[in-house]
Amino acid sequence: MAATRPPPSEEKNPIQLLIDWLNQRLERTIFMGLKFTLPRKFVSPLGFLGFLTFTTFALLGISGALLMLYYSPTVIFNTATGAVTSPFDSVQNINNVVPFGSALRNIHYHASNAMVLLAVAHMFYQYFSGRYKLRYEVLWVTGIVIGILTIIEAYTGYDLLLNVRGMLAINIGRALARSTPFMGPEAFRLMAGTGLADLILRFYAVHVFIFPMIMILIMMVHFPRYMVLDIPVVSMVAGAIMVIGGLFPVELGAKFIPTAEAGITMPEWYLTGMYAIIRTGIDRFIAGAVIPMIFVIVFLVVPFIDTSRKLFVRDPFYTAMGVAGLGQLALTTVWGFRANNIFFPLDSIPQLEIDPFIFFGSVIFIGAAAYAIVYLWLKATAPPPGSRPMHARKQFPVYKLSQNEWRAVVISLLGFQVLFDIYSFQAFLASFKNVVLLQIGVGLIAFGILVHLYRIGAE
Amino acid sequence: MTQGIQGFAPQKRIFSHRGQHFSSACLSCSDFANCCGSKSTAELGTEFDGASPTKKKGLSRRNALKIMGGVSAALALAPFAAAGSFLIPTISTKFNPVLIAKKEDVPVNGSTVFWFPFTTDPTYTNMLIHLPPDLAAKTGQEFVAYNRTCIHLQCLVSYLSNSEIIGCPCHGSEYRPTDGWPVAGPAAQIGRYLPSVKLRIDGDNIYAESVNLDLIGYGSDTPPS
Repeated sequence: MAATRPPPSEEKNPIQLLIDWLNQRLERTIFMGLKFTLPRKFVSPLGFLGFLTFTTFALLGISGALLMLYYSPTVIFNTATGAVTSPFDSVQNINNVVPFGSALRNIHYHASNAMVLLAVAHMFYQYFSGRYKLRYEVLWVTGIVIGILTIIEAYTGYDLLLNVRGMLAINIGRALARSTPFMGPEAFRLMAGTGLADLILRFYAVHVFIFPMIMILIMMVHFPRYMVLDIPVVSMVAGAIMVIGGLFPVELGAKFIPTAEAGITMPEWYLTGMYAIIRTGIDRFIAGAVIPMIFVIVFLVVPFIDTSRKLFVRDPFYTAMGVAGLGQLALTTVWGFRANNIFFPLDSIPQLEIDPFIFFGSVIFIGAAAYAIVYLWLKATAPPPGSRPMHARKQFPVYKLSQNEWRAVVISLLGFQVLFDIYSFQAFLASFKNVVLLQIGVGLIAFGILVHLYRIGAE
Repeated sequence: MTQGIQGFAPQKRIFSHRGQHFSSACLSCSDFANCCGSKSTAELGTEFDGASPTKKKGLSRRNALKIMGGVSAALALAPFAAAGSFLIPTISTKFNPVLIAKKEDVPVNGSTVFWFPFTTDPTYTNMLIHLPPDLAAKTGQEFVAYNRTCIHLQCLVSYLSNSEIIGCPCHGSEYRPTDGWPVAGPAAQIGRYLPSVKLRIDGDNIYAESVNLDLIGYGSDTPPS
């Protein structure tokens, strides 16, 4: 491909002229304040997890805006017949009747999971690489605020279905709001309005407009000036979301009807940690608000306490603290899914109640053990004072494609994409909804690989 | 940052500010005036701090005006605090009595579910219980009514006539039908009465008169009167 790149002296074609013209005009806009770097070789995605998180945010914005065309937040209880008009009906319509509706719902659901996962990974990567202090403070604090808003977005999102699981989550949220000291009734009314119809409408407004707008505003402060736009990885992440959506389509659940029996349902995985704390039976405000807030506040104030000028790990105290926090997060999250004994699955109501002494004891133990191990290990392996840290990079063996091999791979990938497009169109006509999504995802991944091959071939 | 990204870091740009030239690195410097300017700190002090060169003690006129401006902005925005009530809807606490059942419709040790005072939320469902004779003798009332919202996590409880107890399907809380006190499960740890619905029995008709909305899903500290 190297030959196709024009040398500077060559005359530019109209498309390049148009791009240049546009670039010069965009210089006048805020858009050019952001500097995008398009890496010309593979760089570790760990460095731009934040941008990948934003990619899923954009994907959520697009799929969510389209879902709004069919979603209806109306809740009406017919007390005479017992029938319920519920948003669930409209979601069911999107899922089963609207063409491509199931695909969009799956994209929206799996992108939300991906966004939470990427945001958490992004946070811990930035933490362990020490990029949260020394002028990164504003980025760090805004990042944590966006992270909390992301989780609230996800929570309000899965409640909007008003299935049995969503209703249970709404009930827990309302009970927590009502247990606020001093202003419980007000907090409850703020969240729930005068009833479920109000609550769904409020959650809807918050979910589709208020919080996304706040998040975008904070992102303007959170975005660094230089960003990595790695097209292959971005399209592969989007593709992976769709492949997972095709392989593990999100369930609709059972419609919430007041007269029906509620079984055991789990909240989403990013809330099971809180669920486990609530299940210990301690005061709900402490379980649902105070303990999570302590966790958040500890992370919020770290950059202001840690004023050492060391970047890139090696600070045993803060690294051990991060590992301990991660361990506690993992333990509580896993326990939320499990019985009162973490080694057994949850399948009956009496198992819901977790012994607070065992629970908090093991959480503290995991934290202390992780802290001690990491701290001692880092102390033992620390370089002697005065020596400069080594940054010896591991050299991975790189296989260089020959020109012919490269051509063969690119052409077969293109052929592969053509085939998959036809295949996915056929699947769409035959209404194999999950297959369609899977094919689209595979196509996106193929595109990502192709762009990567282009850039390494262009060198 | 990885090496690949560093390779693409752009060259330093030159900016112009007040006739002086700075490199782009200066923009990220917290002490912009002092570390990047070509003039000495003393000179810059007179130019950048905006105060008059001869420093007077006390509040300068400029600062006094700044404070007044801040106070004015706060006063202009203060009335919007009242808009906070926009977010918390008022809810009527005066209800018209509703006929919920006739006496003969609810058998002894049976119950019926009714919506009161609204029909917009399942937490506004209540149960009318016709107490069995031994329990009725304790309370002196044949009929009692409670809100169905469990005080633990707001699931809907029901009267179980086999065990003569009010049970929650979600987490196994149990309440006494006589006064709504939680006797088992997580609700017992919280220890508040199920909110009762005030009834009026007029001949054969049973009317629901009132319920304290703020106690729904939270519980009452006092037993039903």
